[in-house]
Amino acid sequence: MPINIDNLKSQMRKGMLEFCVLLLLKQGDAYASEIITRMKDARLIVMEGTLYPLLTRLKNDGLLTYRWEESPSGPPRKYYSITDTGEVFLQQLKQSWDEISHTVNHLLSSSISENFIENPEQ
Amino acid sequence: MKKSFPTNINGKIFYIDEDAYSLLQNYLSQLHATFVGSEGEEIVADIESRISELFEEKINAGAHVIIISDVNTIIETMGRPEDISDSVSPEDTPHAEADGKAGNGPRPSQRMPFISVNLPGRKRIFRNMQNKVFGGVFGGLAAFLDWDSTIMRILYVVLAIFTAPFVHFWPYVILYLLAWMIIPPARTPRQILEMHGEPVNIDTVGQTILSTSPTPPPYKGSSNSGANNFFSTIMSVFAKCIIGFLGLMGGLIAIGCTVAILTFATALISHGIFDYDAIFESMELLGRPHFITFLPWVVIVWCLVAIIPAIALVWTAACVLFNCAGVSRPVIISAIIVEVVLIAAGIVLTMILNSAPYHHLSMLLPATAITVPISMA
Repeated sequence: MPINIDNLKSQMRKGMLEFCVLLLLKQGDAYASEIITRMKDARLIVMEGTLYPLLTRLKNDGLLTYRWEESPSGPPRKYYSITDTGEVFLQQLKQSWDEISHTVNHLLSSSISENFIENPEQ
Repeated sequence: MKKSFPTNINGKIFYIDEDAYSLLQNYLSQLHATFVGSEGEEIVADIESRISELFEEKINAGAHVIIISDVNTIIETMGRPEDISDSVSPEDTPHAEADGKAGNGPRPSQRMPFISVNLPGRKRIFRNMQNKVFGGVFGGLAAFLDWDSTIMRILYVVLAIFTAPFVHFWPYVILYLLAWMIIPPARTPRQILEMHGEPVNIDTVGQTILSTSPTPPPYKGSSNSGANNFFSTIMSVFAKCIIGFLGLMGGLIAIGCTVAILTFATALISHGIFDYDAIFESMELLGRPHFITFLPWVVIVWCLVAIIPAIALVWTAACVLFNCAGVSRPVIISAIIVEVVLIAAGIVLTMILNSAPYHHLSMLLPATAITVPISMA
């Protein structure tokens, strides 16, 4: 079976999803729509629906928590925030990311290829 | 013109078009089927609240009603159930690994059992409302059997014509009418898909909704081929003439039978109002008490047997020609039961009559039962 480039790309993004959501929430609490907007801006997700199972899973694992907050318009919203467990978890992910990005960047710079991979970490 | 419903999505009321509503409902029920358990409910509730937000944006942008294209946009934005849940499984692997490292206890209800909502299309018989001459019975049957509906119709008519000398054409008419009454029509997109045996999912439901509403019927017919349209119009007019004629016949038979029943019933109650003796005498039946006691009963029963299909025929003709309300299923079923009981009673009575020494005459009874009332009418 030949390697499907689109599949591989989406696998790479998917691996980053939890990490990025936790990073976003570390910057400050947010409700689902905000997270979605920022993830979509970063082109990390294409379909919004993808995020909800992920948030629920992270929450059930105790990495996230949420509270209900009144919104200026419409029904109350779920505001997600990162927990202490989540912080520890994020730290480990970040460590792993640093290793990967270091290796990859090293390989990239040593090769002549141009930089065609978007680095999600600013 | 379209129907629209006020619909509560996450505590907000939106006016949603009928077709858009059924598409959205289908989408949500598929999400429910994909995400099960309390965790799944939470996910679907979150998605619903997001849909509510997106609709609100739409309304704030100046829309008054949520239309089908809005729902299609929503589905594209949110992703189809299989896309969303598909992204769950690959994520599980890195997640589980990281979880092992963090070592934070058991994870409750972690895996979401994925239920395929693309069940292989189960075929069901419906009346085809998009391909019909009378009630769409053959259109539906053709869809069920993957045959050509026109060929089936022609075959049925040919069969009826060729066997009519032996069994009369009534059974064919009655069979068709019964099928019409018993088989439900395919009205919703789901039913239409089930009729064709196509899998019911967002793709197909969306397509069906788009293809069955809002403009197609007049458009398709005229743009496809004028000849086809002309032919179907001719067929329809011809068919209406036939059913009108049958209805008229049914009406005459019903009236004749009613008159016969009334007269014979009167005869049973009191002799003398009408000179039956003269009739019986002319039929050379006088002086046979056994025969005379039973003859009115037999006639009445057979008239009742004839009257039920006759009334059904009139009613059906009226339904086709004047769009009056159809008959509910319990009424049809009880009518069929009564009919069967009456036929049984008729046969028994005729046999009793046959036991009389004049059975060569009683053989004529069913014929008498029809000809006497008609000549009276």
